[in-house]
Amino acid sequence: MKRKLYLCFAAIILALPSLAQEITVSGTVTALGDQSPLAGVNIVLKNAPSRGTLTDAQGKYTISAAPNSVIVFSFIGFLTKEVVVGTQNTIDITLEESAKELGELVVTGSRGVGRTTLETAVPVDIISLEDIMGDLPQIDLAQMLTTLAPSFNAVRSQGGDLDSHVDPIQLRNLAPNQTLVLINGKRRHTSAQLIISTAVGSPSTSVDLMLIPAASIDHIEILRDGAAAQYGSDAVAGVINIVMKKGTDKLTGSFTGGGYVNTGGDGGKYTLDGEPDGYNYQLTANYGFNLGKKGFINISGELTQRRPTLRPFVNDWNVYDDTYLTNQRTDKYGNPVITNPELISALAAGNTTLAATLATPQGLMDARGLQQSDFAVYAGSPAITLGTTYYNAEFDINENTTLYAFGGMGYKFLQSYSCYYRRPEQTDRFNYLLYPNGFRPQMTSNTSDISTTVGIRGKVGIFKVDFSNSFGRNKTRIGMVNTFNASLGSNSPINMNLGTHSFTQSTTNLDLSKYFPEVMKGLNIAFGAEMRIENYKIMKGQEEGYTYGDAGILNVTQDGLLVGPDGKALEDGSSQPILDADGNPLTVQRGDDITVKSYSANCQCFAGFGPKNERDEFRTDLAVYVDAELNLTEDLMVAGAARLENYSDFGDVITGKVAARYSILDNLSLRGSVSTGFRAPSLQELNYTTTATVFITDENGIPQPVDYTTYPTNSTAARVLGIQQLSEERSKSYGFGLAYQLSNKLEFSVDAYQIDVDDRIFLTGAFNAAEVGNNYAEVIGTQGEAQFFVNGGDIRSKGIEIVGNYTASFDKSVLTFNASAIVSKNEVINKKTLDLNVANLSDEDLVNKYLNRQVIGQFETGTPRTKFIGFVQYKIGKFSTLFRGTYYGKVTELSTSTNSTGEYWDQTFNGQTIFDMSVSYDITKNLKFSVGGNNILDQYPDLLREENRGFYLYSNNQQGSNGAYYYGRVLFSF
Amino acid sequence: MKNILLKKIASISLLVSGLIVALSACEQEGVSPKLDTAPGGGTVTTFKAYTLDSIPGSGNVYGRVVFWLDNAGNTLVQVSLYNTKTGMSYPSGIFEGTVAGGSSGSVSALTAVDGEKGEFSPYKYFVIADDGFFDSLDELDAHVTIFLEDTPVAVGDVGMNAAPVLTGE
Repeated sequence: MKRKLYLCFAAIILALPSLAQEITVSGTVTALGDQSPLAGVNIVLKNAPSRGTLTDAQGKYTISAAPNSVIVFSFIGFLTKEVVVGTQNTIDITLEESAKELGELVVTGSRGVGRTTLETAVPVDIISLEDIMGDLPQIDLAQMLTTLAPSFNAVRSQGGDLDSHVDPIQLRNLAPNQTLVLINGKRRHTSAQLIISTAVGSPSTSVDLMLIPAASIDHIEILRDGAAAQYGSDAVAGVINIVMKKGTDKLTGSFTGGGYVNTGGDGGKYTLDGEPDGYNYQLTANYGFNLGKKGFINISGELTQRRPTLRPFVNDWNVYDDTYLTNQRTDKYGNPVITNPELISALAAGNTTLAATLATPQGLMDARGLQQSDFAVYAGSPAITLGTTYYNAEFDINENTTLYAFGGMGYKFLQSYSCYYRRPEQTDRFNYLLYPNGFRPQMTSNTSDISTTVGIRGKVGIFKVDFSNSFGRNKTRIGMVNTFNASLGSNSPINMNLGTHSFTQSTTNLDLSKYFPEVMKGLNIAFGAEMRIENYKIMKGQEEGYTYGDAGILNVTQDGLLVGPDGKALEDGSSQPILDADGNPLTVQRGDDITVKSYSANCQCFAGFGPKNERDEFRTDLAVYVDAELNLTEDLMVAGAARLENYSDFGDVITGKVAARYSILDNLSLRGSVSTGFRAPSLQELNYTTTATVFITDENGIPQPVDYTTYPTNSTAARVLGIQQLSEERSKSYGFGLAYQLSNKLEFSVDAYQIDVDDRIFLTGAFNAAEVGNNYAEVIGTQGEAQFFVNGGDIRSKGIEIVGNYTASFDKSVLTFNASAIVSKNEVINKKTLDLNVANLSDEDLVNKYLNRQVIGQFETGTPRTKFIGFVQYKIGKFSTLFRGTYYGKVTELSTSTNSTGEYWDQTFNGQTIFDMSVSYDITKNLKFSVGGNNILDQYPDLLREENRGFYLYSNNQQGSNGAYYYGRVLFSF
Repeated sequence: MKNILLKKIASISLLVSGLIVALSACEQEGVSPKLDTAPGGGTVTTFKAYTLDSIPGSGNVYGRVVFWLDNAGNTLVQVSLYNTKTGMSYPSGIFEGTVAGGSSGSVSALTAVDGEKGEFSPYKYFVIADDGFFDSLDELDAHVTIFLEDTPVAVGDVGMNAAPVLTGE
């Protein structure tokens, strides 16, 4: 049915050719200087950029256009020229050379006039997403950038509670919360969700780029340098500025369908025979309306559905234990729970041979038509249904004043493989009535996201002024399906609302700037203020998600022995009799509540957020800044910035930055920067709290539920232990590099950096009352376990980034080659020495509680230290092709577990090279077709060593384990 | 004019197509749990339990015999004994008449009891497939005897010959 609908859609698109009356225009394009013909000049209709051509070797061209069309002539190194067709059949053009046209103007990292990448004091990547996204296999923003920008990474988790519900984005191998994201230069709010396991080893919030439609984006600027002094908290590793489209009178869009081949790689018997999966469909559209001659409103929308990919780990873990196979289980009253009715049936028939077979795991699985793979751990990309709508608008109130607004809304439903399979052998989380063969819980999230920025810019006195407010809210309702609360027994719901997280941010900015051309060779002064209000909420879910029920608790109705109908001692969850020290049934009294069965409390897999987890926390931040850029000479520019911030929850911070650029030649410049930065702990890090319940056997041999809690640092548990309030992370960044424009065809840049971050926030190991002593049990319970977010260590990230571009025009064709590389190193340079109120741990144990080797390994070597991207695009006539190779360097994961000889279960994964390819063809002037694939050679990463195969079979920190993906796309433009 | 019309058609088509895609794409299929089992499983709560007394001088073996009505209509017989000896096997059976009557006419042989656990082995329950057995248990003129080798060590009347020590509905 759906395929028919998509075919209908395609038919509608195909049935919409242009009907306008057009004339044929031809001519010659020459260079203004020597009047030489220019080959390969890009010629497009302004209102229909997909309609275009190139000049031939003699500089000649022919194009059809309506009389009211505007033809745009552009060529790298020359000023772009626009001409109205009118009644002309011949239009000869001369183009003027211009160094400024060697690249687009950069606005990120400078509050002055835009600069080319050759002129900036810090490295900035410009990614013209509008031009290239039609040829990319990827359909969401974060994954696109991963393949376009070497320092950008977005490791997509394939499981792990809520980790796959937001793609965490990273720059320069630092954490997602050390990168600031702007839209049109205004701060973007983060997701409400705190991602506990990121690729760099520390919990982090992240901006959810999936909620920003790529169709709304003109280009993206990635500033690879610390910029906290300019933009405030989070801008430690860099700044990503998303610049939205402004075009009008043009409807563009695309429909994409694709899927994964799913061969399973080298998984062999450890994975399932693969069938293609992960089908996804995406519809995008963008249209801009003219608001007379005074403005525009550009609207974009995307609808995406991703089916899940399934990359299971088929293990040999036992499914049915003996108590299950031979019907030995009982309920809390001692009544039998028949778990193997097939065996009863065989015994009833007197077939002892069959009975013997049915009493084995394999025999019972065969009888039920099940296989070991039905009990496999499932991992893979989550199922996602996503809809986003964004707008970008400007309106000129008068000659000097412009009102602007942009923003949008998005909704995302996501269902992930987040949990281990609960096997029937695990008696504390088993219920025959609900799940006779066990169950596989899946997490869901329903995210609604809204953002809007309204501002006005103009001129007041001698200053350019920009006043704006940006509001954003991300709200996620977390749920679980195919689960239950074992302690509630068969009365438990199987789908649960676990709670809602919400993050709201309102940012008001006032920016003033003035350019003084008469001061030396030009001085730009900018200053301003910012007020930011943030609110983070955790709202509880349904009660069954976080309670401990009485399905396993027996209320004694008469004095006597704790025995069942058979007169023998009641049995615990493991079918062991509950006896006193003398081996006799317990003596109980009427009214006693006895935990007979140690059924697990809370929603299985992920405990719901309850009343004691609820939060409603606010923060305000006031900031003032001053920013100056001075051209001392034609060749030397220096820049400086200072910023003072006051946070309502942890006081004042001052940061600064100095940067300089020196042009040795017209086409060669050196650049360097030194800056201090900071990152305020997010409200999520300060307030996130969740509780899980585990069972510990008490002195009577009866398991008792205990709380295992992540406490915020403003809790009693933290204060008694001596855990300090989280402080801000302070950083120092150093950058040095050069940019070289060898010719109109070739340019490259080399930049080295070092970022030192003090007091990086990590999650500790768990402290129990016995370790802590000092009556800590009064705070967290006798068997309680407590962990915290702490400023755990000082870290350093350094590296070298190289970017090169080559563009050449031939007869009717254009070749573009881009190569980029990053070689980097991460280090934990200082583990914190602590002074905590802990009586029974050595100093060394304490330090290792703070920061264990697994976390350190994940930060230092858990993501590729080396990454190369090579990219070739060739356009000829109506064809264009794109070919890209990406090399992910080796990664090493460290373990805290050892074998009997003390060897840690560490593993180094070999480097991986994958190739992407696409071929596009302009079917008509309005229609383009593109096919291609990502990881077309179906390269899987190394298998995990056997001891580490738990949730995953493959490592996720390189290209992931989804394998080859192929797609087809129709693009339209009217 | 034609351009405007064309754009309107295109916009409407897009909107309609978008809605169709949105509506048809909303469902996401989860992973269904495997519920395959034979009928008759689950918790059993209907039972009649009778006392088994030790025979003096035979090792003080005593306990209960419980007749359970399972969800498939079978009667599951469970024996639970105290003081059985590890490594020993205790044959058992249902016999006609009362203990006092001393009849040895067999109603049904039962599985031997494993001395370590004091339960039937290898399976905890002996299965009587007769659908009406449990319902007619109150009219059954019988007793249960547990042996060690050929010597009775524990006995107890059942059915019409004794009142259950405990019942469950």
